[in-house]
Formats: sequence, C-alpha cells, structure tokens
Amino acid sequence: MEMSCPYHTLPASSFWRQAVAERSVQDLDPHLASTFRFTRETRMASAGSCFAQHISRALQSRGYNYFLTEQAPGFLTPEQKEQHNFGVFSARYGNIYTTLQLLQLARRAFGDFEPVDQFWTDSKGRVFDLLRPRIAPKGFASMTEAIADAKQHLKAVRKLIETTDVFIFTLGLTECWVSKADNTVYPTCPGCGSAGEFDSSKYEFRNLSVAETGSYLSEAIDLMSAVNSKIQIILTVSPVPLVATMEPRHVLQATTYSKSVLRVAAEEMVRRSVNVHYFASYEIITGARSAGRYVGDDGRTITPNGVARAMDVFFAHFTDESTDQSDRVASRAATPQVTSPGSTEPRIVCDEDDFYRALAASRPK
Amino acid sequence: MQPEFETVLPVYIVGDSHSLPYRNMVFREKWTGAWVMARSKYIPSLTAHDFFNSATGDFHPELIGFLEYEGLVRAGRATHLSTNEVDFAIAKAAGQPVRPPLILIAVGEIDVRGPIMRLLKDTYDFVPPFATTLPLLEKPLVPWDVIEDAIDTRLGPLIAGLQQLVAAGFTRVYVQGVVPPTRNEERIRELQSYDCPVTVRTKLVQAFNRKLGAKCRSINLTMLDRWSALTEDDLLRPEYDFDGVHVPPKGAHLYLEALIDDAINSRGLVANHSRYELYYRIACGLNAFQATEPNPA
Repeated sequence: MEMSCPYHTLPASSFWRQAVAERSVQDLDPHLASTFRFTRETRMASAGSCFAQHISRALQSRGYNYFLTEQAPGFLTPEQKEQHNFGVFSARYGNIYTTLQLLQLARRAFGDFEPVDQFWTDSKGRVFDLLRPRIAPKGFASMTEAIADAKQHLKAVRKLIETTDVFIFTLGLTECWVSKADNTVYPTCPGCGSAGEFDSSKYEFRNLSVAETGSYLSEAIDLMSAVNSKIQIILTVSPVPLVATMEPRHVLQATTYSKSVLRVAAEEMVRRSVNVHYFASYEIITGARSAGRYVGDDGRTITPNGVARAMDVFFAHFTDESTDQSDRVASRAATPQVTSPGSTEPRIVCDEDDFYRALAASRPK
Repeated sequence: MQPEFETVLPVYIVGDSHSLPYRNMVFREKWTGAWVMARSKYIPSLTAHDFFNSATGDFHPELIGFLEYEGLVRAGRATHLSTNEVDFAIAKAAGQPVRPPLILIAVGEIDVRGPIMRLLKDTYDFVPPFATTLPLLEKPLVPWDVIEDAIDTRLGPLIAGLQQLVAAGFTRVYVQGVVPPTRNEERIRELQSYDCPVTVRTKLVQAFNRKLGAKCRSINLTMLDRWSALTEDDLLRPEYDFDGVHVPPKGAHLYLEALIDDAINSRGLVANHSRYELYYRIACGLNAFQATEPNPA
C-alpha cells in the first residue's frame, strides 16, 4: 500500500523556507488566519508588563473601545494623569509581570485574597502600596488614603473582569519576589527602587517554573471565565529581556529560560481553552529573520519601528480592518520612524528605571 | 456737662463678604474691659488668589485703599513705624502710638467654594491627610496630592502678600479661617448650579484651613480657628448658618474674641522699635522727629 507523506498536505506557513527564509522582514507575519476578531465596538481591556503599555496605547490611539474602569478626573492635566497612572492600563494596577501577580490581583478583586504585607510608610510618612509602588508619584498622604484607593481599585478590577469583552495580557517575567508570610507576589523587589525596604526575613526570591507559571495562568483564566462567560483572552509574551536576574546564571540564559516558560504557558492555555488566543509579538521582535532589527543598541530596548510593526500585525489579525492594515504595515515598514526629542508622547512606565536608580545610588562612589 | 467718651481698640477687618458680619461691631473685651471696635472693609469677590501679585508686587488696590483710608498707610509706608511728626501726632490722638495695628484678613471662602469645589462637585470624593469624622462617599477618589496642589495654588498669592505686610511692619495681622460650610444642599445648588455633598465641602474647608493655618504659622502669623465652637460632629451648627454662606454676627464675634485673646497674650512680642526710639529721644529732650525711613508697605 502506498502511503503519502503527511507533510505534503501542509500549507506554506508550516515550512521555514517559504514562511521565513523567503520572506522579507516587512512581509514576515508569524500568524495564521485568526479565529477571533474584535471590532471598534468591542470592549477591550489590557494588562501586563511594560511592553503591554504599547498595546493599550495603540488601542486608544487607533480609536478602539479601550475599557477604562478607573477614569482620570477630567480636570487633571496630562502630566498629572501620567503621574498617577491613569489610562496606562484599563485599571490602575501598574505593570503586572507574572502570572502569579495576575492571579492574585483577580483573587483580591473578588475578595478571595488579602495580602498581609501590602503597605509601607517611608521616613516622611508617605504611604506606598507595594503591589502598585508607582501608582502615587510621591506615595499616598495617609494610610487611610492608601487603603481607600486600593479598595476602590479592586472594585474597578472586578468590574473590568466581569464586563470586558476582551482581555489582553502580556506575560513578562517568571522571576519575582514574594512575601514569606503568605506568598504575596510583588511587581518589584521591595526596597529596590520604588518603595519598601528589603528584608530577607520577610521576602524571598522565586523563579516560577513551567508548572507554576502555567497553573497560575490557568487559574486566573478560569476565574475570569467563570465570572464572565463571554470573555476572550489574548496572550502575548513580552519580547523585552530581563533587566537583571537573581538567578546564579548569566542574564541572557535567565532571559531565555523566562521567555521560554512564558511562551510554553501561553501555548498551553491556547491549546486548552477556546477563548484564549495568542499574539506573536515575541516572535515578531526576536525571531531570527528580524535579526535584531527591532532592538536598540543595548540589545534590550524595542525600537519604535519594532513596536509599530508588532502593533500593525496585531491589528491586521485581530480586527476587521485587515485589508487596510496590510497597507499600513507595508507603508510603515518602508518609512523610518524617529521619535523626535521633546515629543509629547507619554512615556512607557517601567519599574526598571527605579531599579537602576536605586542600584546606582547604592553603589559605593 | 462734659460728654463722656472713651477711646476704643480698633480692629481693622478687610476681606470678602465674610468681613460683613463684623460691620459696626463694638464690644467690651473680657480681659481689660476696653472697648473693641471693628472697622471693616468689604471688597467684593476678593480671593486669596487675587490678594497679591508677586510679579508686580502689588496688593489688591482696594486693600491698600482701605489701609490708607484708615491711616495705616501713608505714602506707601506703614504709619505706625513712621517717625514723622504728623503721623506720630495722629497715632497719639487715636490712642495707638506704639503697637502695630490689629488687622484681620477674611479671604479664602470663595477660593474653596469656587475653583476648588468645582473640581469635585457631586462626582468625586477625596481622603484628606488628617483624621475626620466625615464619611467617605462611594465615589471615585481624587488623589489628595491633586487637591493639595489646587489649594497651594490659591493660597500662594495670599501668603506672599502676608509676608509683604509683615515685612512692612504689620506684624499683628490675623487671618480668619474659612467658616464651616452650610449643611443646606439646596442652597449650594442655588449658588453654584451644581451639587456637592456637605461632607465633601466640609472636608475641603478643613483641608484648606489646615494648609492656611500651617502657612500662616510659617510666617509667624495666626489663623483664627473657631471650628469646634461653630460645629457639631464637624458640621456647621444650624444656629451659625446665617444665609448658607456666612456666619451671623455672633459667629463673627467668636473670631474677634479669639483675635483679642491672642493679641493680648502676644503683645510683648510685637515691639515697635521705631516708636520706642522716638519716645526715648523725646524723653531725652532731643529733636525726635528726624528724617528716618520706616519700612515701605
């Protein structure tokens, strides 16, 4: 009996030569036709690491229905809005780096988890929320204000989870710092920049494993899907390497491990749940074909062209404007993007800035 | 028969409509039995923000006009520091040869009820950085730092102006704290064309007064605070709600009493060296009225 090779029936996208080697960088789109599309009426929410801010910004600037459950008071200046983290994400949660952080946020929003060690008071009496260390630029004026703001924030997160149509989550890290008391995970190590004081008796380092990352993400998705049966989730992995690793290994190795774990977790969720989809920003930026084209001289910063390319592909695949988007993709790829000095574009808020400053301040001169 | 008369201790009160309850007020103060008389000047719509222009160095013109009318300022200088013979004679005749005049500034309520309250309306609430019995409403919160910036912006010109007055020799200047706001929500709707709950309005006034008081203390001035006497559970007592904005004269009297109490307690601290020197020169039989230059107002 003659048996035909199963590879003969595969589309061109399954083969490296046709799908990657024979494509220019501008033409390379690491997606198949999407099974999910949203429209300008679709209620879109997002969260995640620093890179996720590009997605929230793009949704808003392109006129999509970006869901904000914590709106800035109308009288705030743009500077005040930025300082107080309004409009950066759908609620004022700040950057969410790990799947454990996402899960705990969701559980807190529904009253299932209350961290033991959340607030820290500095020497001037200003109070910081260690779970959102940059949310108030100088800290809150009082513990009462900090607690009231946190309570209101969680109400907003609950409303977001219950009523959004789409939730886009950018997975950023596996390395994190947790409280020894109750496993509360912090976005940054307390005392390394934004707020808090490091105390090894209170906090410990964890590098989430494949199993942990996947199970926390799975539990978070299940929680959201249980309270919002219509929610669609888009996962993406941040292409931004680690600013530092606490692991006793080279940061490049640690980065590869971290991103691999996150990519596996995203893949497992897509395979497990029909309402979970994947956006390949990681592949677009770091794929072999782009060969560092979308990364700055430091090997870490994603260039404006890289961000634009990723966003163009995102909208090409997940919106009903794919035809227009492909024209925009080609046009933008051909046009060098330069951010002029003094641009009024809001800056991406990354906790690493505070980390570097704290590191520099702590080193002997 | 010779008519009986007494000289009085004048208190010069100038400000927004909260200076009106003092109009024609006369009373005997409880420590020495001396008569105290309020000499007031109402400057319509005067705000803390318009009190002084730091860029030009100019006070609100009606403020200077009042001080000049009352003889406290002449040719741009404080007359109580003047060693000019005419100024001294006038001061002696008025029974006030030595100490700086008592001045009460009543501003700030329009700053709170206008630009600051408008930010919050019925839409927002905030958590002040001090303990309060007033409940927090189920409304989105405005960060305290934003409210504080708004208050500081309004108070800046007032404090700058007060510093100028002190530098000019007016060292017995008092500032009246903003009175507690009315509980009458309908009245506020009528005045402002929007709603703002009494708890929010009251916290705003409390916050404003705390900042005002701290800033006054930083320049060695006193903000008169009669909050506890005027309120119950931090809300204005109905008997002190005159018209939904002002306190009645008996409420204003509380502030004036507090001013007199403080003035008596602190009178040793406000020496008028120019006039002491003048008296000394007179006592020594010297030509007292030489051309000395007191500080300009």
